[in-house]
Amino acid sequence: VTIRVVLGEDSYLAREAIMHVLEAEDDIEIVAACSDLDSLRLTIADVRPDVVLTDISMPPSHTDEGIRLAAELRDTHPDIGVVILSQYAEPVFATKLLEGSTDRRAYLLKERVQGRGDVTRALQEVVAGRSIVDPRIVELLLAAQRRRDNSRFDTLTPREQEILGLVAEGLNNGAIAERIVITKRAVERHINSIFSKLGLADAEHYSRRVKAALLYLADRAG
Amino acid sequence: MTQLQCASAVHPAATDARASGSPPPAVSARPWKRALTVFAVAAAGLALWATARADFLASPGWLAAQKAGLILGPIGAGIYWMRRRPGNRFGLLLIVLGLLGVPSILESSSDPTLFAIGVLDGTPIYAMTTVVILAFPSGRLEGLPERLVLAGLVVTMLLVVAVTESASHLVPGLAIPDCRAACPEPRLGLAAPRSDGIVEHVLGVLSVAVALGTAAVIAWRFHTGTPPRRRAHAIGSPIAVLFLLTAAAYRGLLVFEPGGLGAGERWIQDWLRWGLAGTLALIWSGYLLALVAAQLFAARVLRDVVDASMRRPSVEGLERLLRERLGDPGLRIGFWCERERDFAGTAGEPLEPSPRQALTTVEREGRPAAAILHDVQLSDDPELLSAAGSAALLAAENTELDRAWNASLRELEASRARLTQASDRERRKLERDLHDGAQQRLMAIQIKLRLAKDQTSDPRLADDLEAIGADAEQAVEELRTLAHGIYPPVLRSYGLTEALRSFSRSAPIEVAVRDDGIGRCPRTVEAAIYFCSTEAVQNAVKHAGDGARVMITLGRDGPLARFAIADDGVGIAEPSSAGGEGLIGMRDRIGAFGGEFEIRSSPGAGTTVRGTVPLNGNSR
Repeated sequence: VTIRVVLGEDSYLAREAIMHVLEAEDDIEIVAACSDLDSLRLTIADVRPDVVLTDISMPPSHTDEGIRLAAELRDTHPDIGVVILSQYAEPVFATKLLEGSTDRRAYLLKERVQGRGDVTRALQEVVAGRSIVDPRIVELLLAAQRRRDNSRFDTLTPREQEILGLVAEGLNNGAIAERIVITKRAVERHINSIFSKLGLADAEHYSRRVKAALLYLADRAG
Repeated sequence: MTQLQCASAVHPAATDARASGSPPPAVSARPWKRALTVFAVAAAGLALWATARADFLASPGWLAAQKAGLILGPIGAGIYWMRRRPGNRFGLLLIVLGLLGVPSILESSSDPTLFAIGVLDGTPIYAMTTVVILAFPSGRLEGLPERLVLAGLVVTMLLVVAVTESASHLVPGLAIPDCRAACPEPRLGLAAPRSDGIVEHVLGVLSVAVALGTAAVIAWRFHTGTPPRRRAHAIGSPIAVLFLLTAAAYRGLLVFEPGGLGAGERWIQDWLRWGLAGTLALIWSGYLLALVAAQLFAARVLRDVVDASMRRPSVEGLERLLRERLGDPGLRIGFWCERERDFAGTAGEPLEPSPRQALTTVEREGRPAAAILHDVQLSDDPELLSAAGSAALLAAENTELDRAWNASLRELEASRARLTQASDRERRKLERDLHDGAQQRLMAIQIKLRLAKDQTSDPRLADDLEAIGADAEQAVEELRTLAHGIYPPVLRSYGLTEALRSFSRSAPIEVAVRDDGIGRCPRTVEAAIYFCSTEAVQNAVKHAGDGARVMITLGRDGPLARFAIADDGVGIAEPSSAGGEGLIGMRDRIGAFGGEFEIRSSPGAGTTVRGTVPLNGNSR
């Protein structure tokens, strides 16, 4: 099935580069490209894409237009996914994006575009109703955690800390198992252990655990 | 604070504010004054010597003192008046009175002709005394009552001259209290005194009228005068009034009893004659005291005005003070207006003297600078007016200086705010250029590298492209750090609390951020507080020591954004010296938006940086 994408990007260079990369993908079709928030909003209402792939900042205010658009779409078009391509390696923007619900939301740093597969995977995950957070963001949160004298976090084993980061990134158990080369059952065991140590609920519900892990990391760090 | 309506009236840069209208500094007496002084002392000495030796007199000792006092007193007081008030003729009148006293020395001569001349001198002395009394303190005879009294005096004198034969009787009775046995027979071809002449009666009545009229003028002046004039009369005139009343009583007595009182009541007549001689010889002393008192009063008023000037009064306030102290409700202060070539009052209106008013000007460097419009009676006290005028000028200049100072201070603050705002704008622009420009271009390069790598079959080239891609990624990372340091995107998007929490994650010290509801503030305020807080955290990293924790608190106090950065570290003894440029930068940033900033620290008690920034002020 082809994923229909509307692109929001105000930089000509970046827009061309992103379109160039994604044109090579068979199951992705860019149906429109916009360079500011207002036209992006109108185009989405018009063409009703599966996913909006958008820059975080664009005219008019060059702040967090992409995040705000994602929040609006939560109400107006809950079925449309949003993948934010951001130049800001700032956990705050990711947690803002995932406020409310993590479903169909992804926060990727722009440099992921060069690794063609990352953007494609994000688009696919979002269409599937899941969420993704850039590993760099999770890494920042984990690094901040490690700097803290945080006893509860310290009870996690290094392996568990690694898996918590992958959960925050939005990987499912199978993907985690694949990434760190252990069995899926081992991943499930680790995750149950992590979530009970941290006192987090919803460990079973995949789509909420990303947020839980992410917000946990962000809160502890703040 | 009121500003001068005519700004050109005041030249704040000029520092020499000495008014040229003020009394000249006491210089050594001019030669003629010295000669006059020597002459007066000599004449007084002669009077003492001659009179003390006149054995035909009943009380030569007392008379010697009286004659010496009549010469030396008025001349001395007159010279002092002329020195203190060069523009006032009263001093001259006193000197004339003293000089008229010189011929009366001849009364002490037993030579009949000289004695007669001395006796005749009593008449001009009496007349001059009356003129002096009337002319105090202005030195002029201006009002209608004064002129009437003067006319009466002139008529009296003419009568005395016309009826010369009665002069021998009239004048000795006034001037010489008594002779031991018989006074020398005046020999100027004059007839013997006639005690029953009708002219003599008229003369007596006129004399009483002139004396009472003069006393009435003084009383009326005291009643209607301004406080300074009343003070002058209260101090200067009592002896004069006593003299006038005594003269009136004595003349009245002679009108009713031309031959004098009988032996039993003779003492009344003697008392009156001695009283007359004594008061006549001491009248000058009251006028000397009055001058000294006026100067003391001027000094007191001046001190009050200067005290008031220290509190930076408006010109109106100063005007009110002078009105109150000088008892002149119509007093007005004005300043020279170069454009109008005239003095202008506090409301810019011209100073037009009414008939009862006069204008005293204060000059500076030979040019008119200020003026006081006042009751004409206040002209009696020129030193008071010029001192008040100088003080008013000074106060007005202070006010003007304050205004100019405040204006330039405001301009300076505005300019500092503009500079900081401009620098913030540049920071934001730079950050955006880096994030949206350079970084995007690097990203495009990365993608092209990836595509090129995918297309090549040369493994060495692929490795090179891979390495270049890694360099580009490193460049993106560095660019991002750089841009973040210039202006954090989180601050722009989500405000202080999120931005500082984000900052705290990467801080090498434990930082907690507590938000008491600061909300979003104007961008410039957020930038100021953000960079101030991060600077304070850097300071804590350097100075607080191992294991220290930092708490950043953000909130609002009414119209102010409030922030505090406290650490629980070791503290520093001299907080102002720590931080150096960073601290100055913090102060400048906060100050540029009218905010306040303080840093407190002491060994063992940690360091707290706290401040407030107005939310509305000159932001954005």
